[in-house]
Amino acid sequence: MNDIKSEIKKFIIDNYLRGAEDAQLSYDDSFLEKGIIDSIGVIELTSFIQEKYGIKIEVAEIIPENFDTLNNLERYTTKKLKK
Amino acid sequence: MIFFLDELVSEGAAGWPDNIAVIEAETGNSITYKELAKSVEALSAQILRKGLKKGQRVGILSPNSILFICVYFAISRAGGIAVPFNHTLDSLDIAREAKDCGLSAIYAGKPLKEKAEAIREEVRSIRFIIEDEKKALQTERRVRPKGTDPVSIIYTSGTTRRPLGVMLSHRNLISNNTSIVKYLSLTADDKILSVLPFYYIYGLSLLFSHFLAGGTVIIDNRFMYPSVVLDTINKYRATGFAGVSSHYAILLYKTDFNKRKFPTLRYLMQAGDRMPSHLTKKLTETFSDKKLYIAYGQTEASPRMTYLNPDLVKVKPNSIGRAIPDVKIKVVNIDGKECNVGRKGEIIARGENVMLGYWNNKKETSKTIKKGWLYTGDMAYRDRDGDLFIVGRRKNFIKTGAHRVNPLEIEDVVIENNNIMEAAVVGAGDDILGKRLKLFVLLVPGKKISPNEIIKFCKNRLPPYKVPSEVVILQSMPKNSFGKIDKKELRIR
Repeated sequence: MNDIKSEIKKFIIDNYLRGAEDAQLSYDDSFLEKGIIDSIGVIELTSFIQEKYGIKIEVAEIIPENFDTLNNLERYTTKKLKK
Repeated sequence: MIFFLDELVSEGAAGWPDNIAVIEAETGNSITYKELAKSVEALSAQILRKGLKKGQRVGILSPNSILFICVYFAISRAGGIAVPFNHTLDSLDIAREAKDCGLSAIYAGKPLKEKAEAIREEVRSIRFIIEDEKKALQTERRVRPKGTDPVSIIYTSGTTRRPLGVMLSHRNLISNNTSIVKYLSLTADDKILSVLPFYYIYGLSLLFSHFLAGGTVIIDNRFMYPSVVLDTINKYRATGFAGVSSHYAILLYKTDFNKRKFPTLRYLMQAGDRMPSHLTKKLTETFSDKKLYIAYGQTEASPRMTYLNPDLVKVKPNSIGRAIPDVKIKVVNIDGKECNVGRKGEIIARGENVMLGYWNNKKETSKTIKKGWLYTGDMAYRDRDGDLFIVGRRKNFIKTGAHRVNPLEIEDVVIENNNIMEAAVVGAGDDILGKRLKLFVLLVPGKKISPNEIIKFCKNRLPPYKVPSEVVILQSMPKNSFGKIDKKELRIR
């Protein structure tokens, strides 16, 4: 399952953290608190996850509990994949 | 009568002591005017004790919060000049602005302490960091500034490569927000949901206008989760919502906004960019029981200059309406003469809302303010009724989302790449952002680089909102008769 986390992490580093080192984003960092992603970024991230893992993300599911850290994202994506 | 910006809080405490001034939706924390006034006094005392002198600049590096507001008004009360920074920028970008205005002190919100330390290392003039003040301290005598003294510097994109700090006085901000209260008919019962950051003047104007009316500002920084923000509207019984057009595009196309009911919401406001007419139409159709205010302004005007009467939105969805109370607007030709109905010219504005000038930059100030009139750089015409329609910009900014981007800045970065000979950035239409950045490049003969590699190069050197979303490699760069890159031609490609 580490793959999901590292793939999403790579997407975030490549797209929103210019030139950041891998170690600068931990799995528990809140995107909201650290100002890592804005509203447009979340839409891009949603599209990325939908395409990459072939899951359908409902609007009501785009909430901090599912999206705000890499750990939350992994938990959420894994749960959706099992459905 | 209010003369100084911090009196918005002290007069609020006198007039509506127990009204809730601010709610943080994420934490549920709130503060009354009476409590806020005490906190502002305590922080102001701390700032004065640390030796801040009248007119010295104090930076604020924080997402919207109750503490941000306390610090902002405490700086005003201490006679300083508040400089709210875009905290999402890289520390080096913020340090450039901090150096430009010779920052004396800085306040950093909880997740940004490290960034503030990095900025402090770069900017020698920063003498101290403001701490969160919990204890009620003895109130020290405030420094009495003049109403025409600057109280805030807001950094904006200029036509030059150096940072451009817009200097706004107590009088500028009080005058403009008094006009906003009038045209929005704000009262102490109003509650605005603010998703707009206070480092932009649009966000600050929501704060000031509602404080002037004794109303409530509900802060929600979670617009990245738009459904959560929609819940906030009903949870805290907001009466108003303000956004740029990309906020409305996201709400209409990416949430169930149009299926929900918002019984307490009285109005929606759009400003900060040009709203595509398909969005205006959809909003008015969906929320026929709410007023939609389309407004126009810029930081240099504190910011508001015009608004469209909500009754006219369906008839004239592309209009920005007429001057707000106490502001004069003209459309003038290149000779400064007022244009006739239907003739295009530049919008110029006059009133107590017009900025003092750009910080430490007389050259740019004299280009922008002439004989008391603010030259906006926006081209428009007036219809027979006197309503204005924007047709383009004289100055070459690109509005993308809520950001105003100077293409020169991006082009300078791109041509640092050894494979690239020439670069030109234009704004291309985008349903969500209004405009997105499109980059055209001409490669050095014999060199190769892919569009993706160019985007990656930009990402490593520019903040995300300045990174072009599309790169086109040209065989030849179109030029006009002066040998300059023909951006008009590129815009239609």
